[in-house]
Amino acid sequence: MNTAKQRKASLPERGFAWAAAFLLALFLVASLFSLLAVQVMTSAGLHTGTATNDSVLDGQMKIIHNYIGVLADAYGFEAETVRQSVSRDELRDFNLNAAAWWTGVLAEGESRTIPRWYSPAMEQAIRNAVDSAGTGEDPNVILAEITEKIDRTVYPLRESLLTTGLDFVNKRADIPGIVRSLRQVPPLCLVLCILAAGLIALLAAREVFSSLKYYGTALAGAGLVLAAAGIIYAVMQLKAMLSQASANLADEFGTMMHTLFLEAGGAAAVLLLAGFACLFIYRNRFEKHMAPGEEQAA
Amino acid sequence: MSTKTERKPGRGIYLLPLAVAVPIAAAAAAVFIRFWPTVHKLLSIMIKLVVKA
Repeated sequence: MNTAKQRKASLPERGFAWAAAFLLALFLVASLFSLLAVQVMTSAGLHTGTATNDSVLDGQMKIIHNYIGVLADAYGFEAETVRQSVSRDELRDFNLNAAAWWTGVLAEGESRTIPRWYSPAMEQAIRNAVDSAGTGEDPNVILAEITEKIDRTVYPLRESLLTTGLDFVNKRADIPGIVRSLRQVPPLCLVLCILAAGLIALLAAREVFSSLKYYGTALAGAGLVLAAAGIIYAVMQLKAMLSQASANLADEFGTMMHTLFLEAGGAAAVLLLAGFACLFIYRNRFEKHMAPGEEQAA
Repeated sequence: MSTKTERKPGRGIYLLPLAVAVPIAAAAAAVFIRFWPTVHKLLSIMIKLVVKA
C-alpha cells in the first residue's frame, strides 16, 4: 500500500519556511561570531592560555636574553648570570598578571593599574655582575633598561595610551555599560535561532519530516558560511600585518586566533554534519514508505 | 493544500545549503571587498600608534 501520500504545505507556507530557514542560518552565524567576540572580551582562560603558551614564553625569553647580551657587550658585564636570573616561572607569572589586567580592561571597559616587572633576583644578579666587571657602570641604569625591555616584551601594546584613551572616552560614554550589553548579544541571537526554528516547525507542522529539509539546509548553510568566513580571515593576513610591527604580538595574536579557529572550525563541522544528516534522513524517509515498484519509479 | 504523492528527492537536495550559504557569503565578500582597503589603512595606522616596536 502506498503510504507516501502526504499533505504538502501550500506555496506561501513553503516560501515562508524557506525564509525562516535563511534567517535561522543567519542567526546561527551571528550567534557564533558574537560568542567568539565575547570570548575575546571576557574569557580569562583564553588570554591566560595565550600568555602562558610555551612558544610565546620561548619567544619572550629569547628577546630578553638577546637584549641582555647586547647590554652586556655595551656595558662590559657578564651576561650569563643575568640571563639565568630571569626565571621562566617569574616571566609566566608576569604574563598572567598582564593577561588579568588586559581581561579586566576588555571585560569592564575601565582602565586599571598596570602591573610592572619586578624581580629581586634579577636586580641582585645585575648588581653582582656589574660589581664583578668593575667597569664602574651604574647598575640601576642597566636594571631600568632590562626592566623596560621585559615590560615592552610582555606588553607589546602602548598600554598607557590605551588606558588614557579609555579614560577619555569613559567621561563621555558609559563604556562598561556598553561592554555589559554586548555580552547579551549571543543569548539574544540564540533566542532568535529558536524562534526561527519554531516558525519552521509551525509552517511544516502538517508533516514532521518536512521540517528536516529546512533545518538541514539552515544548519549546513551556516556551516558553509563559517567556512567562507575562515577564507576571508586568511585573505586578511592580520598576523602578517602585526608581525611587521611586533613579532611577539604577532605570536600572541596567532596563538589566540588558533584557539578561536579551532572552536569555530569545530562548530562549522558540527553544523555541516548535523545539516547533512537532516537532509539524509529527510531524503531516505521516502524509502520506508514506498512499495518496491514505486521506489524503482522514483 | 496539495495531496499529491511525493517522489523521493534526488541527490540535488544536498546542494540546498548552497542556496542559503552563497547569498550570505557573497554579501560578506562584497562588503569585505568594498571596505577592506579603508579598514586596512586604518588598521595600519592604529598598529603604528598602539603597538610598540
